[in-house]
Amino acid sequence: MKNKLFGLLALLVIASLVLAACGPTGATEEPTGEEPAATEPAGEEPAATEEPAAAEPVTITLWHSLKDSETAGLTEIINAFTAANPHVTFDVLFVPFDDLRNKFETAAATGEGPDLLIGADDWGPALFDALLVADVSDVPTENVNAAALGVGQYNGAQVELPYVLKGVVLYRNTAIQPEAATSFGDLKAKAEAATTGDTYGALLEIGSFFSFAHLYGQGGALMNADGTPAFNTEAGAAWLAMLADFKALGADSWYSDNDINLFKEGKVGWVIDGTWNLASFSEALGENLAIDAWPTGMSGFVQTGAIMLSANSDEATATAAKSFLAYLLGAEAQAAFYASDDAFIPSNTTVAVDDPLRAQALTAFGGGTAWIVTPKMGAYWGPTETLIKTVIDEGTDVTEALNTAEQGVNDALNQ
Amino acid sequence: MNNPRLQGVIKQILLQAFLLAVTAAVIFPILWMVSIAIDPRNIDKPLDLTLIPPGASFESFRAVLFDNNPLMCSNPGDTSTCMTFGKLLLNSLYVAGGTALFSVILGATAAYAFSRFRFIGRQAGMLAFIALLMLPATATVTPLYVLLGQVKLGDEVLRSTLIGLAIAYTSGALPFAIWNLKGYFDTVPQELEEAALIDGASVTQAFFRIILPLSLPALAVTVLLGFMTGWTEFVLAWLFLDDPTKFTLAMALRSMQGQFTTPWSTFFAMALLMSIPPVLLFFALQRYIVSGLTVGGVKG
Repeated sequence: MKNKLFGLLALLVIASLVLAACGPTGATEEPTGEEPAATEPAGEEPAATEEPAAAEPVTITLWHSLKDSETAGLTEIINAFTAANPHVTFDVLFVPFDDLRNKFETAAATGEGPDLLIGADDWGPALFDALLVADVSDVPTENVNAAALGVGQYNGAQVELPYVLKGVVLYRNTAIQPEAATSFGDLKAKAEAATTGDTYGALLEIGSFFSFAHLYGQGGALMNADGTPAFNTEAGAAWLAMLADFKALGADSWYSDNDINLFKEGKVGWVIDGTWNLASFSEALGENLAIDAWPTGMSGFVQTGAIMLSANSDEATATAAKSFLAYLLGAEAQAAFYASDDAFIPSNTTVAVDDPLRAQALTAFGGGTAWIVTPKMGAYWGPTETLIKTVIDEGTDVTEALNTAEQGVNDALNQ
Repeated sequence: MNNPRLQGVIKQILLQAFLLAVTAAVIFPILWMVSIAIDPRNIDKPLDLTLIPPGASFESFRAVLFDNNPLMCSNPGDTSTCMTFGKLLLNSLYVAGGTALFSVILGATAAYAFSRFRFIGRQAGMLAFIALLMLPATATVTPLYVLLGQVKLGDEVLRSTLIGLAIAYTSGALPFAIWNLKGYFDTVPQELEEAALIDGASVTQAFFRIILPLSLPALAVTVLLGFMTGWTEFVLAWLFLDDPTKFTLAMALRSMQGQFTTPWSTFFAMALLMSIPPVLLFFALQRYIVSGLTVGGVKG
């Protein structure tokens, strides 16, 4: 009898737990399932003083994966904003980059998560499609780099805002290569001439992320406006021939940081890498470091650091968050970020970039290619990596390899 | 080659060479980690091994042990609110210890029931545990997130607490613990319990005074595996926890891996320091574990 009573009680407890878990809560009731709509205009001037001091207290939760130096800049900006808007407080959380998107998607899908998310610029469209981030087209963006703003425009909405510019550039060690190259042919000749002993004239990365933009430099394109493949052309063949030349110059592996290590040791003339490594290169090479404008025939992707507004934010918080976004993109905050981080390249065009290397990077971005942020990009990585590997490493016929890759992308798109 | 003595020598040389190769394969990663940890150059993705790198120092160990973690602060503007190695260690011990405790308590009681009692759904229950074992961990992440988010512990949801995290880890560790312990309990002669029952002991007393003391090897294995689960896991931890004061060592180690760069020297220094507590636990439980690892699956 005792056992039966105990069993009955246990069943009741389990049943109540299950029912409690399945029942709705306040947190899960918030998302409406409708497409996030633009809320009221957040104000016109990107200044820290725009919110009335008597407004209702608001806490903005912000998740990011910024590195130490960037975090210091962000903290400074937040302090300036909250000093001018005392009703606003911030709850800032660092999450490692590789965990950030999953954490945001899981939290936002259950009606939780942050109000603002600082992440990669190719997250915005997919998160907007999933109704997790809101349109922020009403945030004032005067003086923000138009191309950078364009990266975050998707399906007629501004799904993210660019708080920083970054991208793939051509770094040069002036002790090995005193002069910039004017074309890829010129670069190749100079690199071959400078390669002696354990010194390489150039070690140029072949991996897709670093090399796709050269396809545009060759007059081609990776995809059409509708996302279908556009690389199976003469320009595509020329791009692959160029990558074969990269390998002949000494690029020995994919995405290995061997080129970076050797460059830092002063043993390489040119490398292709991101502006995110600018500070460490500068520390290693000092005055011998330069960033070249892209030689004709070559190019690199220009990206942005993106900040997004959660679709779950209530109206008051969303309004305050948009005021902060306007401030973040304004000259004052951008200058503060620029001063705090050696690799920060402002997206606001009015901020004076007096650091020579960052000014050179900005010039290089002029010959760069806008990073492709469509979710369809996912269909391209596998087939094109195989394309490059089979042609460069295995010597497969270029036409055949291009056809196979195109078919692979189409199959992936159809799936 | 017909000389048996020569054949024996050659066989011995080959055997020794094989064992040396295996030893090298086991030791190389550890030597590599130590080498990078004491390398002050903080180089990116080193490809070769230099046992004593130029300018070798223990600076990275000092930084890991005594510096504040600037990425894990309650208030990023105030470094006194940042987590230190000591605080992270305490949280890790709490989570790993909790996971080990929950695993062994729930696992032992459930395994005893499955081993000794005959009830409806017993076979199906054991098969269900196997099914749970086969589930990829990612399949249970969202249900756990939602489920633990429904329960409040004071002002916080259970998901955002260390005990919630330990419960989540236990849910993953429990199926194996039950199978392992049930297999071991099956090998303990039922006559011992029957003798205790004849002498007036209750079933509970028999369980605590007869079965558990005789099952220390299996319990030790369960404790160690539960502890390791809670000690090394970071994916669920980063998903569930939002308060830096609750972060663990595994989370801190993960946070060192940047999007573009990783400070490899401090990364490996922390990895080496992190490995010390599980090693100590292993040594403490070693005499039970060595026999415990080979039992449990004999009879099921």
